[in-house]
Amino acid sequence: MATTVIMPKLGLTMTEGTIEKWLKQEGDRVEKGEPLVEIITEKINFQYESPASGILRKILHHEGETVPVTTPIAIIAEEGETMAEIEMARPEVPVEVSLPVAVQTQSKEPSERILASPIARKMAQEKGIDLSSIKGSGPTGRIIKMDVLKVAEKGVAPPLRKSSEKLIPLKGIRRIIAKRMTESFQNVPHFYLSLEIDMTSCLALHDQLREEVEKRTNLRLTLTDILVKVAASALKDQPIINSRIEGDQIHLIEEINIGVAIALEDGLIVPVVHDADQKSLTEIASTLRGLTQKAKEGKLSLQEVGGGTFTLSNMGMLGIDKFNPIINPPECSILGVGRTVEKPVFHGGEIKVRPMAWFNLSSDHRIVDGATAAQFLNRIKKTVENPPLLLL
Amino acid sequence: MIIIGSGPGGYLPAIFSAQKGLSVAVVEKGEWGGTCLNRGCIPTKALLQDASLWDAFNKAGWIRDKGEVISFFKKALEKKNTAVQQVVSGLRNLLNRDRIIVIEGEASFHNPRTIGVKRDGKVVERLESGRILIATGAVPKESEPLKRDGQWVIGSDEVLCMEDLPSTLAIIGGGRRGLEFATFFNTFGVNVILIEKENRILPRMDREVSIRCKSLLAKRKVKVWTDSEVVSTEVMEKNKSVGLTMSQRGKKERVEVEKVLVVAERRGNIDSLDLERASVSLKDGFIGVDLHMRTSSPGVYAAGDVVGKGFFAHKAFHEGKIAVENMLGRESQVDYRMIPNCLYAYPEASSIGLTEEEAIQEYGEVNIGKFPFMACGRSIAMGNPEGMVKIISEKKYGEILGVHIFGPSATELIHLGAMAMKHEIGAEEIKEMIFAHPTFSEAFWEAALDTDGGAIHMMKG
Repeated sequence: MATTVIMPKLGLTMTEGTIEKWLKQEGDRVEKGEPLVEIITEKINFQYESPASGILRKILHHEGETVPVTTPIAIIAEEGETMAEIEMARPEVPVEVSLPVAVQTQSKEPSERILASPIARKMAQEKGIDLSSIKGSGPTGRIIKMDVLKVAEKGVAPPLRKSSEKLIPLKGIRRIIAKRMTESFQNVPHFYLSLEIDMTSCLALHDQLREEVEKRTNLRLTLTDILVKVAASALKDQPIINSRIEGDQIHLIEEINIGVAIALEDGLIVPVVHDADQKSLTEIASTLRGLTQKAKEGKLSLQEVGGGTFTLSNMGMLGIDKFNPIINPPECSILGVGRTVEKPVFHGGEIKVRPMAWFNLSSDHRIVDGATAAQFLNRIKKTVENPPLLLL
Repeated sequence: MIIIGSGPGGYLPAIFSAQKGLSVAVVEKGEWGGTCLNRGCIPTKALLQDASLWDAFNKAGWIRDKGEVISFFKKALEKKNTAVQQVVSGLRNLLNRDRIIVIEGEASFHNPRTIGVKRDGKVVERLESGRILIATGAVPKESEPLKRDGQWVIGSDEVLCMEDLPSTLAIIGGGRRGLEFATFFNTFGVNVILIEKENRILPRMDREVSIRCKSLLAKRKVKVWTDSEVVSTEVMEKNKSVGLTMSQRGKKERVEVEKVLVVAERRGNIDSLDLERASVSLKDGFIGVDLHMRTSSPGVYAAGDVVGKGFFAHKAFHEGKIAVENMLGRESQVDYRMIPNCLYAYPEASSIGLTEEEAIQEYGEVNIGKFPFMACGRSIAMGNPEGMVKIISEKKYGEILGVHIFGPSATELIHLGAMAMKHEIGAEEIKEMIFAHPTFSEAFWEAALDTDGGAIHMMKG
């Protein structure tokens, strides 16, 4: 019997997905569990595995199309099955599918309603214009004929670009980053605090523990692991920073889930160390190494990139002193750490050479004010400069 | 904001802008409510209502004594006066409610921002504002040989105060207003001659409506002269009649009638405004405006009959509203295609959008859906199966380009077309609607079905 492949619901907040790439073509043999299609959601790229074995008979939505979750996207039929039999089978398609990420599929949620006049709809369809790309000028923002005609007119005009330019379409992970960062930068009132912190004790701690951790777990302990631990302890002290804003409400989150920004060849991804405050340094190191490996292979699950309450971005390895990171919404703050540089500083009335690093905090002014954020950053400074505090 | 004139082009924007928080003064030199309330829409509809009653009684054979017509006519005039009083006092209450300053007197410009108000020839008040709206309406364009004398040659002012019915009446102007008066007087047994200089009556409406209307008038024994112009009038006091000499396509004709009613040409009512002091320029006897209702003088706007382009209260309402919106910084425009044109004879006629001829000219091929009231259950039951609904739609998307109705409740049904056109609902969407049975509105549905030949209750010839 034929199986209909639907757009999977990979997380509670997922309402639609974009088909990035079909890994099989119509007519190809496909085995159950074999990667079938690459799907992009709000947050990640995801390889969706075939729910059945058979022949990929029909692709219903093509690359680049965005469809609501549970929309049928392809039909897999058994060899020799006629189209009539397939048609018969289609209505009996199960709505729920088992997903590798073990998220329950929910019934279809309505996609956002687009207000458009019937004539505008027909015109847009006929001219191949996506209504969601048009801004309506009618009452309550309704798209009217004039709006479609204006867009259609623009489409006919030759694109204004030089022949020497190369076009890179905004797709895949770049599209996700573009969308999320624009949303954040446009909607979240950012403010930025910076503090230069003496890294002497922190580096000493790193040196002391490195060998031991390597011996025990065969993993390399990094400064980032220690900073995750430091941030987790500061967040525990100041729960308002460990929050997410949704609509008119600030949600204080009990779990401390720290996202760590990882640069990839074609973008940036932020896997999350869940319950960072409950984890030992070794556990943090092992979690982060695992996540980094998966990120590089493009195998992170939605859960592994979701649920963050705070983000850490360490640009020390990239030779950067100071920067203002963009908040990863709906989180409250993001901590950007620069490189450690030896500098002459006054210490106990004498000029001494000390390893110093800039810690930069970007915060959402809707949730916190300067004083609260300053307190948080100073709490980080205190711990970095006195790592034994982590034991308390 | 200063508004000159309290007709629909003045009072609606006054209320609209008062609601938007502006301080508004309205200056009126004559009757509050202007033409619409006092000499136009409201009184004529009151009269036509009674005339249609008389017509129904007469047709049903219930009128035994034809002499009763005069007392019925006089009662109709009284009822009209009551209706007028009601709407005028209603208007005063509305202006009061919104704390609009009302000033009686004649307004004239001193400069583009200053208005002087005269009473008994003396300036009694000076008003200043950077927002002025002229809504002074229109007056008959009087020219020889049809100069009004108030007795033999009359206009719409005098006709509404007539004490008696003439035996014969010539109406100059075969447009909407001419037809309404023709219907009214014809009903009360007056011999009516309707004279129109263009080649058909109702020249602004769809040709088919105009033809159907003409044949119906002929059936009621109204004489219709098209392509005709009056070249001279001669009052013959002894015969108590007026001799009219007309030229019809170069051929001279002479008729004698008891009275001549002139409703043809009008011009902007601007004589006392001193427009040159405000640098407001004119166009063909009316105030020139753009689609934002701006005159040539910054800050001075005009709306309603004084700008020409058709004489409808609802057009004046809309233009007034657009003027206020533009004064407040919103760049809105009047879409003249969306203004319904209504004729209140019986049956009624109405139209919106393009006529069949205009649509073919603009779009080439179009779909025409037509449904006769003869095949509409409700109108058969009511005994008035005259007329039709015609819907003109664009071929590719089914967009409705024009709607033309001749028949019962046409002036109400037209708003189905107005809504569909304004909000871009096509013939296909109308087909999907459920229309109650039996109603006149069903004819609209059937006409939509007929745009691709799918009407239900109709034989195909």
